[in-house]
Amino acid sequence: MPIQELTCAQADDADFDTRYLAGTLSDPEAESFESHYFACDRCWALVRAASEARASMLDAARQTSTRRRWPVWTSALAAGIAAIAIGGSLWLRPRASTVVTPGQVERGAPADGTGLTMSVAGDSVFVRWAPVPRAVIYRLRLFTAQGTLLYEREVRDTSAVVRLSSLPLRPALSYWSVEALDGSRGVLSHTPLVPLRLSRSSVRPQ
Amino acid sequence: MEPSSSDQQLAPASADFTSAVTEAALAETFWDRLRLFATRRLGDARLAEDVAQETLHRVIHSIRSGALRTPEALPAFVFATARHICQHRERSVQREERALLRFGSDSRSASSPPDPLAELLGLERREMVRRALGRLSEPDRRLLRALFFEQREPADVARELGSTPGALRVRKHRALQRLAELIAGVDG
Repeated sequence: MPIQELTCAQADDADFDTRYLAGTLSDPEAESFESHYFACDRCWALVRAASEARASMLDAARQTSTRRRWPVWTSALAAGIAAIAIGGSLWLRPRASTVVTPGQVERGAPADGTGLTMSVAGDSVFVRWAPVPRAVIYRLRLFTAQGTLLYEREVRDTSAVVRLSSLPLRPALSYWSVEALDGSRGVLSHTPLVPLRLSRSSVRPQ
Repeated sequence: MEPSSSDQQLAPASADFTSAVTEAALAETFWDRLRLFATRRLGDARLAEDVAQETLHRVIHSIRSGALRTPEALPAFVFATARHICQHRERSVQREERALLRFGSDSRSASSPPDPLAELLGLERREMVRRALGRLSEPDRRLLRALFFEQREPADVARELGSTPGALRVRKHRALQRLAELIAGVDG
């Protein structure tokens, strides 16, 4: 069935953004609105702001209900357990640093010709790599300079998009790598770790 | 209709379109639209991200191979590609659900989040939106809450506020614009 073309005025007059997020549009109406906001920055900005407001409010409500579900004494108990855990971990902590450096997280054989290339626009990092024979899955990983894993994603294609705002934190320097996995999830090869310098205003591969 | 930013950002000239468009610029314009679209269709933010990845991959391939030559056609092409991929995924999900029903399992429903929209926001973005909402005026925040969190009928909200549906729409749009500006301000 062809999709009905929609104008901004029609979408506004019928409260399409509100009804779309409430799930009360019919399927043909929703498709018309979706087709419209893919091409219209004004309507996309409105529906995006509304969807993010809803997501944030849902998140806040969920956190509140989780807190309410536990009586006060559990907070005291949790604090006690945390204190014991922290004390124990300090006591047990080895004197030498156990931070994993990026070089140590590489596995498999370095891949020839599977260099990682990244292009950046705004909040998006588009990562691409060369296909590896026999690979069925690629695992994209992003580490901090201290070797902490920040992001991991498995894809079947030889490219992926990462939104920086979806990361738990935005380190000044990060390292990116892709592992090629075979059908039994064995690591066939990996790309070298590629550094990427991040800042609030700009992002540039090194 | 205000044209998509893809028209300006992605393609300075139609003749150069196939070589000028960059993957990251394409993702910047369409990534969040694709995720919202696919989340509504599939009810799963994780699956929606897969759909967004696959769509961009296919679109780039089509552009590079010359199947799409004009930037004006790009939004419709991205939408049609995503729709096609979603239909395919929906059929897969339905097959899985039928198989699970046959085995009497309810593991899907047990593990599904209550609202996949809440899963769409990354941690950093979630914090930015929370702070921006906090800086919105109380009437704006109450209005957005009534419409988008409590999901009340706009006509009912207008009646309660002693307003008309048209005036409420104007207030809603202004509140959303202010929120978008505040989020952008928090980001910058």
